[in-house]
Amino acid sequence: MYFRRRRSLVICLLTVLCALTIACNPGAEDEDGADGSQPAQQVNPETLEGELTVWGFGTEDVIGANRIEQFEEAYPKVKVKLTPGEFDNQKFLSAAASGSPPDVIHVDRTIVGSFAARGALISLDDYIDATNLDTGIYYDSAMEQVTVDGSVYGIPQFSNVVVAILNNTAMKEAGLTAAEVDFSDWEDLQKINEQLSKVDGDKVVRVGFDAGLPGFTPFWSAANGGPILNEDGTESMLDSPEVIEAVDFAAETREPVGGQEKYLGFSQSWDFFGSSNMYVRDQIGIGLFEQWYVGVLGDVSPDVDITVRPFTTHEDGDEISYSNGLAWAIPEGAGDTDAAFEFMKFMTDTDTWVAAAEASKKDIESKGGVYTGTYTANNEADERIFEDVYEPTGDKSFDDAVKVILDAQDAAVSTPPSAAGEEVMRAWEDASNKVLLGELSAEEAMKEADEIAQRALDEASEDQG
Amino acid sequence: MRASIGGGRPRSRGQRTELFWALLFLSPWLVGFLIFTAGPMIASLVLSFMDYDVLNAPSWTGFENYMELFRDENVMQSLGNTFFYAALHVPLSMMIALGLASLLQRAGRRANLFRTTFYLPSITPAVAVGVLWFWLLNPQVGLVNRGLELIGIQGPGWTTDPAWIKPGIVLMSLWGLGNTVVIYYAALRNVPKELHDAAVVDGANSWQQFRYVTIPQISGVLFFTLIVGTIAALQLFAEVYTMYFRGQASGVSDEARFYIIYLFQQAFEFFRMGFASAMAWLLFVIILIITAIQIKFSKRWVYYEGETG
Repeated sequence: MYFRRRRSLVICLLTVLCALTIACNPGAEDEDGADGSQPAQQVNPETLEGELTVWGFGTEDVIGANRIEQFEEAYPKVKVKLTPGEFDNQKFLSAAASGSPPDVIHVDRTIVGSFAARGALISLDDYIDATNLDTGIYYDSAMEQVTVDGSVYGIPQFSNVVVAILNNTAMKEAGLTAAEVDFSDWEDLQKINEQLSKVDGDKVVRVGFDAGLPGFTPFWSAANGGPILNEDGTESMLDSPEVIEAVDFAAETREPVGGQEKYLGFSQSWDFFGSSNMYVRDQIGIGLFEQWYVGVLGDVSPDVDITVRPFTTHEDGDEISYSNGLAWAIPEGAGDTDAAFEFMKFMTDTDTWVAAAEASKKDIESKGGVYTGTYTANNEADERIFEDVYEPTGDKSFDDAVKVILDAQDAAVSTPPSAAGEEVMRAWEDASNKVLLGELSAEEAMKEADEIAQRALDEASEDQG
Repeated sequence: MRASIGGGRPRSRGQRTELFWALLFLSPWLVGFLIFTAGPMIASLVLSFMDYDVLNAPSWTGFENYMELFRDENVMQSLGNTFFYAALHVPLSMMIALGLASLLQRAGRRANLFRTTFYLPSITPAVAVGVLWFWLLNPQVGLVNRGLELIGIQGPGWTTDPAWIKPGIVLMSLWGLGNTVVIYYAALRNVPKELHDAAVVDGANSWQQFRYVTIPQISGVLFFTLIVGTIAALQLFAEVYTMYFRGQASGVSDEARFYIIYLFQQAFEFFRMGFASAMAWLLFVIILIITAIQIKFSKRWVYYEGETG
């Protein structure tokens, strides 16, 4: 009897604990967590006070460190507390659920839509209006990814675009020139891939053409005229004939080296960021990479002989690229939203970028590297950087690359934001892997992915409703 | 005294005082347990019946999340991957650890050095282990396959061939069994020498001594490591997540998706905390059943000193 009563007491206590855990979760409140204050019209940097906690951004590189220094100089009374390292979803969700999110997050743009749809980010529209921020300075493809239902939820930081990097040494050895490569003719591209690929017995010596699958599945689909989502990000189009054909072809490009397993075993051993990278060691013929990799090559292996070319749409041959990257955003429940918005605006401002680019150039050249430019999501900043800061190096490889990359920004498309961005991404990633490994045909895999993605989109839409 | 331990209500003033002080001294652990273990466990049980994305208020969905567990093919596949791993890892780790502990016993003065050497990998951070073994297992340039090449064996695609990904993970996991080696070593040292001497007098050879003297004497420790090892194997996460799921797409199939990894993805990548909670409770029940079976069968082979009948 005594212990039965004790047991009941313990059960009651645990139930209360459980109820408290959920009830004390400010993130679970239905009400809008914003403090309801209006954005400040004019902010005086000298007098603005506050303390900002910023997650997902560090000062490991000069570009980041310099801009933080500039901000601290311009806003002497705003203290910035950085939490370096990649943005951590788990940490953010825990903080948001406990009602203590950071003031600013630096996050992949594919997640912005998911967070915004769930009310985890504040709309920046009022702040943009109040401070007369011209969002036209940011690349369209980047802005599209942070705009949900007509409202802006993020300020784009970088815009990474896909370009083709050709290894001139391998091209010469195969009797080819960079100009001969026609990315619109996939049959021809596969022949070039076969010519460039090198296998020694059971070992891969060189990958002829690296299509970048599974990561570039949306890019290949776009190049074949088939986006993976509809315009408002509510409908999956992963099973469209264009997407299936694109994935099928991109997967086939692994065949000359013996398939995905052989490719992975080889590519996992590349010294990607080192001076013995795959271009230096002649381990790749042509590869699709985001433009920042050209900067890495210039930095760690300035003598490498490469040509950077734009990719083109299948058959039509129009230039196309794919934009992705990070953005700044303010979580719902953030403390000082005025200071947070000022920070985001300042960090992506044209003058800030130009000064950071100058610092970066100085730093790279002092180490004997080649400054290949700083590419941002701010179109105006890019124009000034490449007019005022960047100087042709005399190295044709890198000088020619600049124009290609800037043009790629204008030709870039992006995947629209969606409430189930991560799940959609996992769906096409898994599907592409299955095709690459020969577990499913492209048609079977993409149909399966389409069902998974659509179910996730529908569920997310129901949750919002 | 017997009354308070045996289940009756403490009646005397002395017993009540004793209980008060016992609870007071236990209170740091009790409070910690209630707030950080029991509370979240019950919260997750409640959430498993709800649709909860962490950022918005949960809504009641009844058994929907549990029904979804059986509809979602990935749940069953990840569970299959996890069982496969546990079935290989647990017996192999026990056998190898016992073998190493036996060697340690014969190492004499150098035992301390070897014991430290075996134990070091156990204190290596899981993320570092994941990164290190991803390189060691690389099919083309990894040290494992290079070593196999030296003896004329062409190594498999440990990190790239779907059929070899799980065995590769098992291989990695065996690197960190120093903990178990140390426990077995301590148990082996406690086996009374007289029993071995008696067995020798009876004409037992080395194998017979090991089988009929050593194993029964350390069976309690073997049973403990079996239980703890099985539970840990079913919850494997950090090393595999680091190897195959952190950052860029790894390009491998579903073979590396273990149960806890899928649970983590559902909770923190796909905002499905309710479903993830249901997954956690399914695993809890599975572990409970496996442990109960192990305990039931332990009576047949586990010997506890001092136990009668």
